[in-house]
Amino acid sequence: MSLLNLKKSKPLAKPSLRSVEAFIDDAILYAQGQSKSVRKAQTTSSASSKSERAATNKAVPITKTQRAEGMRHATFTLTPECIEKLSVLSAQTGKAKSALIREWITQHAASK
Amino acid sequence: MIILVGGEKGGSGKSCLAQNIAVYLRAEKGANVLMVDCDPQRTTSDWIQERKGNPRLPEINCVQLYGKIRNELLNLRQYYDYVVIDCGGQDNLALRSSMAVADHILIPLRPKRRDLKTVPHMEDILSTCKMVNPKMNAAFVITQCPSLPSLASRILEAKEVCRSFGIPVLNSVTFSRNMYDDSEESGRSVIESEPEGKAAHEIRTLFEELLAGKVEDAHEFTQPQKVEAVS
Repeated sequence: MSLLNLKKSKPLAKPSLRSVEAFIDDAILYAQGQSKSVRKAQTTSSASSKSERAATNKAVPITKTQRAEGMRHATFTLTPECIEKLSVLSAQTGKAKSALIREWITQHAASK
Repeated sequence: MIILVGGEKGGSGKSCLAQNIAVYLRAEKGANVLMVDCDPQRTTSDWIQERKGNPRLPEINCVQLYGKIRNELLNLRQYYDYVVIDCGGQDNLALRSSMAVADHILIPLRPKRRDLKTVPHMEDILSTCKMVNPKMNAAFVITQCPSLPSLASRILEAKEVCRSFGIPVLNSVTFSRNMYDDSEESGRSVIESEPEGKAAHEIRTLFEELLAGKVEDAHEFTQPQKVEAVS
């Protein structure tokens, strides 16, 4: 089989002027599976869809802004039994514990 | 002068080339040579240890350096005619630190798909590196070539693939020869094991060709000569 289909097919993006340190540090990003462009894309646009992420097949860390979008932290006191049941339900349904609580609140409020 | 033998692909013969180049410079040029082993596998360090067991072989010093080694290399350069760096097969801090200060960069690749697939990333690194180290002279060399005439086209195709990225490729190649392995086992180089052999000739010619590469004529990585469409 010919090797010629490995010839260059896409023009190289013009490299930006970088410091020596930044050039060397890019190796760390590369080792983490990120490229310069990916890092920029993540910081400038956090609205990439799940399908896009799935297409790149890369784990995207959940950032605080994603987790806290439209949410506020709240603390409740529960018995150990409740905590255990909540954990079991979360594992069974695949939903976050806080998501289960939100669902229960919505259902309870609707039934009233 | 700092000479880096490195690249992203493992198993392409980086340590072998670095060791043989170091011996060529030490034994035939009478130069003061230091080897820098950046590969945690310690292939070159172990080889140097083997050499030290044979007092008839000219001594070559070796240090192991990892991580951000730019300042260390600049410091060592003052005390040696040549600093030959063997950098392991991955894009890491040591590779980029070495690239940032190297005078000559030799990137070995086998004429195999898996090796050639690393060329786009090397182009990316080299094009950026050119901005922080504009004097560097980088070139690919095709290694471990099959000697069967029926497979000669693979060597030519591999060179063509590299050239399509606007990066120089040495005309010289190394062939897959037992001499490279046999000499390494005893801490020797092919130049010491068989000075008039084909492998020794390959090392001399490829290194002289690398040094002859005119930096001012080096390709502009951001402007490749030709862009091919892949169907």
